[in-house]
Amino acid sequence: MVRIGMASFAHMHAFSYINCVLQNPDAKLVGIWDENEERGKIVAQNYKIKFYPSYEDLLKEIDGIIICSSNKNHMPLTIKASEFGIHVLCEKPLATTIEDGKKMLEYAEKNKIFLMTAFPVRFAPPAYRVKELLESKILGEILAIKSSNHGRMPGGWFIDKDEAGGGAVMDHTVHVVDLIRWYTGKEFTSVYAEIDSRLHPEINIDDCGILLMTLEDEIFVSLDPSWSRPNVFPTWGDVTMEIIGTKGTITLDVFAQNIVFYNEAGNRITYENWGSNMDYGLVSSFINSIKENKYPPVTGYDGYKAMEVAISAYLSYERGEPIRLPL
Amino acid sequence: MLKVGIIGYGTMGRVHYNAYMCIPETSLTAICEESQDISIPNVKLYKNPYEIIKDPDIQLVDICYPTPYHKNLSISALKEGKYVICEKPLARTLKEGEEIIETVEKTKGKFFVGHVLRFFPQYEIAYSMIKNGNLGKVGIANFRRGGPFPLGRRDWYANFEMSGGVVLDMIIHDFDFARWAFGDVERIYAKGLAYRGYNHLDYALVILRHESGVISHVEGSWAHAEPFFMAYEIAGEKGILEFDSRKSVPLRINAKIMEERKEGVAYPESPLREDPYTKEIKHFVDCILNNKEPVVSVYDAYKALEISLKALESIEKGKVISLR
Repeated sequence: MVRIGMASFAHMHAFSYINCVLQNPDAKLVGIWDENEERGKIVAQNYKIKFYPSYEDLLKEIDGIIICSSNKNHMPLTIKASEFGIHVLCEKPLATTIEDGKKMLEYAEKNKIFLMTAFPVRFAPPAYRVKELLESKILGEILAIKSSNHGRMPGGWFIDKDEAGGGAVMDHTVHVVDLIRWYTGKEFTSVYAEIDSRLHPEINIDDCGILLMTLEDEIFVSLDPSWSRPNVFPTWGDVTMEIIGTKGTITLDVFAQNIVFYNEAGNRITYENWGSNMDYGLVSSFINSIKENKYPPVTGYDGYKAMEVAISAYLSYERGEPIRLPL
Repeated sequence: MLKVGIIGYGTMGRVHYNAYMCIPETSLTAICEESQDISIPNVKLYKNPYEIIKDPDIQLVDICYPTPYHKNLSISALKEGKYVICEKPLARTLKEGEEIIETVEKTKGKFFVGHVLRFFPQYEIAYSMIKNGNLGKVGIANFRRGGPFPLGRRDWYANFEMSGGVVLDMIIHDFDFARWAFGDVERIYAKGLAYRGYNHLDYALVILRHESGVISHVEGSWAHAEPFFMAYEIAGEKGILEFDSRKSVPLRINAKIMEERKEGVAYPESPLREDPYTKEIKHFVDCILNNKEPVVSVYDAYKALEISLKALESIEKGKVISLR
């Protein structure tokens, strides 16, 4: 059995991941730690698992840790885990600064742990199918991609620049950038962005923008990472891609497997998603990597490269020009 | 009765022809069609566009010729004292556009450019809702327009020097709409396949930053195998407006005998009591007969042209282009 611990429930994805761990026949959930003791104890009670007041004590009893803290805390929590030789599945974005990200990669390598970035969309079957189709060269050569990762304004620490590292662009650039690196096997070479805070007057962080980027071989890519979904929108957001090739196009809408619920009682219309649970694929992949002692398919470096694009977008907007990558 | 001559009887010429058939204040008098033999009762047929311009019978000249001809035909017609409707884009270059404007001003002529998107109800309504404040402050607007590569007469769309590709010929519609709805553009950054030498393939992604702060993102595609589509998503403080022609489909024909159109430019079909092209031309005719200002002026058409050409410049140079 692979012994798993969970560090922090600051990020709501932790609640999905914990269920995935509990469902996995190869894993045992040893316990949780949370910098917010009150929150941690409630979660521990609800799931009838042990709460560890000390992160170190938890690390001593597990093989792998799933970190879902605020973005800023990814770095110290990952480094601590690496010092205990514990493998890490870290929520995205990997970190909030280039320096932090590099430090995480460095410690993971030095202490010979697996560092996996939580990019669950790779495990969504529609997204995976596109990978297969592209490998079959059905589109010929890829020329351009238009993409989006829309969402609602999440509030909480997500709109605190210090804790999150940025707003919508930091939050919603990395998933799609990771998919595109995975699909194409190419790195991003330039990033231009228009960014603003226009949709939510009550917040002081970016909530909308467009990135227009290039990959190696002059493939160009646009991405809308805006928190533009109002609360009445039928679902949380989307991940979409229009892939343009020399021989055709592919339209991907990862979360389109929906039933429409016209909810009289709730006075709104919602989508009930019937797609496969991508988080289960992600968490199982992490557990399996530890079990078989194989490096996970999504790495800390993948997380770093995606974060680098988000950070470059802010730089580009500051300077009013495209930014060359790598930084 | 306004006597009309249409220059060019390709896809747009035919659409305009149908529009005039629905407008009782006009009488279609002549058509210039150089490469095919057509015969329409009571309509004079010319081979040379200047025959229409010189025809003293004709009061309104409707130019549906390829873009590079717009300038000379427009200027000649204006100088002959004709009213002129010219298909978009206004011209192939800014200098040509300026010459047209000079002539319009000098001749005090009536000149209209076919930015028909302003007459599509799903765009008109969006415009009104934006202006009425239904969305609150707008943050970000996404526009999409695409389909297969158009097959025009002598394949002129494939000649970039003539058509300017998808950025000048097609998404100029969205540029005009975005500027209408969100105001003048401050800067542009764009990427596209123009200048890369692909055969019958064009695609572009353009960012406009308006002086109002609104961010517009426009996709233009002549790379899709599916039929023509257009879409927008406009997000503001108070909500989102979303339209996609592939989803708003009141009618589908699934007949096996339908053959693909061999020639022609794909244009949106909207089964409405009055199609947008007819509404557009009716409006221009009303402006002529009743001395009104059109919804879209020659200056608007010039600004839309400028956005397209600056987007192409951004694509060519890889730089942010300022319009200030």
